[in-house]
Amino acid sequence: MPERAYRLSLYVTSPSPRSARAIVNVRAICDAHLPGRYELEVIDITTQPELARSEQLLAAPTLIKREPLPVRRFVGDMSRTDQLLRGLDLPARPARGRTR
Amino acid sequence: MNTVPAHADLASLQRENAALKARLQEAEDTLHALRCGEVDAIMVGEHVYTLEGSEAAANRFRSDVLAQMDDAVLVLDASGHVIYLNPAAERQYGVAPSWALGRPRASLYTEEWPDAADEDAAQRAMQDPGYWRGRNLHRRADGSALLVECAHSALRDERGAVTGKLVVARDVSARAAAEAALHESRARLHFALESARIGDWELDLDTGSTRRSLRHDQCFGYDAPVPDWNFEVCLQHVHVDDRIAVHQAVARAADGGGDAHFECRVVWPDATEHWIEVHATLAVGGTPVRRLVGIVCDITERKRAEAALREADGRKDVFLATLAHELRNPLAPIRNAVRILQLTAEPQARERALATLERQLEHLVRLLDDLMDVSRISRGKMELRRAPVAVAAVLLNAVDSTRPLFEQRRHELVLNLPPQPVVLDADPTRLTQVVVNLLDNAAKYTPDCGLITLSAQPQGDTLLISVQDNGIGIHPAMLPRVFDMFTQVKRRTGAATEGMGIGLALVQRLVELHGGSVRALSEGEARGTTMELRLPLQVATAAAPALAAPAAPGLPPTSRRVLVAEDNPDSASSMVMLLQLMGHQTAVAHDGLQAVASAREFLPQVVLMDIGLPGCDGYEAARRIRAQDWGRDMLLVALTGWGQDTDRERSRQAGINHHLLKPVDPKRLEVLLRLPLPD
Repeated sequence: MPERAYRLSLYVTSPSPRSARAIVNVRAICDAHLPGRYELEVIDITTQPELARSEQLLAAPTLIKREPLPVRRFVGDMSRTDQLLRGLDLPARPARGRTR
Repeated sequence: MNTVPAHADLASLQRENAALKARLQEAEDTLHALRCGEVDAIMVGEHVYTLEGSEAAANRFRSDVLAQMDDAVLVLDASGHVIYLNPAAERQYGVAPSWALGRPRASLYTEEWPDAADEDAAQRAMQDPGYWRGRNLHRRADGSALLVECAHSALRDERGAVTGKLVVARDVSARAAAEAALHESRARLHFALESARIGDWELDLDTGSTRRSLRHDQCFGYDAPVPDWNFEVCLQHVHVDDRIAVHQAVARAADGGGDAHFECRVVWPDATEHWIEVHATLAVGGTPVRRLVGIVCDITERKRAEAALREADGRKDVFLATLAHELRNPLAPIRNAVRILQLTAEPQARERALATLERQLEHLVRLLDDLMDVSRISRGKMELRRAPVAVAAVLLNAVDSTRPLFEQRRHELVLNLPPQPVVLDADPTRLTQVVVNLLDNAAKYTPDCGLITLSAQPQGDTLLISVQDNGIGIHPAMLPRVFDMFTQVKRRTGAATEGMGIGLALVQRLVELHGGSVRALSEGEARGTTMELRLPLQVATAAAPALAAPAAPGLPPTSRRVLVAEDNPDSASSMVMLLQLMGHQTAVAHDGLQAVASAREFLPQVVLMDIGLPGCDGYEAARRIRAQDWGRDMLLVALTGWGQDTDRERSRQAGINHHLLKPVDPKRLEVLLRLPLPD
């Protein structure tokens, strides 16, 4: 079965500390577990607050998995890797092969 | 959800359950994250509330960045007041925030623009597109100026209205100074190369392309830069015989075999051949990486000078050889004549021998005198003693000097003087020497009983003196060379080949020193010769001629009391004998002190004084004689081998009346002794 591509959106208030950590952590997880099959956009809601409303965000940082369905949300600095992986339906072990 | 589906099955119930669980988990996780403070901001309604701690941290982050920057950052409000400046700005403009904040930007610095147009351009750019980057000068409050590279950005609110300006200013003075130094260094190099007329060039060893200065192309004969030039094209300009060597030298340098330095010939587009000197070296660093750089210089002039020097050196050797030969010519008959005198007492033979001796001696003396004169002229050491000179006196004197030769050859001399007196600015002695020389030649190279005409005619601002003879003439091929030294001329009469000495060479130089010219004309062999002398005329009223009129012939022979001061016994006794034969009374002294004593006792009318006397020299003896009453009116005549102007001057200052060179011409002495004495 072909591996599915992930589409992720990370909403932050850069350059706040937890937002900074969230960016780094999400990037790391994606590169380790979804090499070559993810799309990550990072949105700073301090410059675009209207998006906070349209996405109905509760807090920042918030990571939204848009694809594959179902849509899932995660709040926090994304440092709880196991919890996040489970939420993203990813196995605990990193994918085989080089990430880049 | 309140409704329960009518026909629910287990699978859909399970799916719904799973979805509900996931959503619940999500909500719990979110609440958990909030409770644990793992968020920076929460959204309430339409607003984003950044938590204080997070805000502070973000601010500190921005602060750190701005504080660490080297570039000065200032934020101005819409009226140009400073509302923010970073630590680098504080340092760059020498202000504290407590002082600067709220003040107009002009209190920190004023802007100076290289050009009014630049200021306009910057202002327009701030309108549209709202930012500007460029260089200008910031003059600080203390008067010092700073060269800066600036970025100005318009700050706008959410509606797009301008709320202020962001200025980032970087100090580039050091860079500007370095650029200026580089520019100056380049200008100096360019000046040096241009002054030395050196062209520089660069050859890319990989692509073969070249960069050259205009001077480089000029070395190959082009006025403007040649569009396509590479090493092959260059070689085509090198002389065929030099091409291989040049190619090898350049190839060796390109391969790292050391710098190349060579000279070679190049052929210009106009087919002329020139010499160039080339230096080439492998470049270090820079781009392109593999390149040969070098200089080229036209050395054609130097090569010509070297060739001329070698030729002059060769000519000098020929000159010396010819001179030696010329000097030997009179010596042979002299030697023979002496031998004859030793061997025979027969009067006629002795007389002929003596005549030969005299003739050859005179020839030798003349040759040496002329040589010294020519040498002095060449070294620029000939001084003319110019004075207003009556041409008539010069010509008459010359005629008188050559009278014996004319009489001997039974030539007729016709003298054409201008009707009114003509005065020249010339050295009388030298001018006479010139005319004597011309008359001499005319007499020598005309068979006996010839006709020689000496004329002088003013022609505008020039005086033309001509000597015309009906003698053996000059072959047309020889005409251009008559003024060269040692030109050989055969005498038709079958007499031995006799060189013309260097008389005419000297004549030409003397005439040129006077600002005039001399020309030889002849219609060919046996058709006679005319020598034309042109001298610039001085427009002057008749001035006193600087020459004493020649002694009128026919004066009764006078008898003088003559003291001979000479340390060489042979010279002394021969002079005494000569004087007595002339009818004079004589006394002798052999050193300077004896000369003074004899003068006091003998009271001669004339003293013939050798300068090189033991005791005190001739100059000193003369001074002592002059210091005495009885010596004031004596005619003192120096006899010496030294004829330089400095020697003559010393004679004059010692009170000597005449300065004669040894060997003295007896005829000249005779004339001198017959002159009226000074009273």
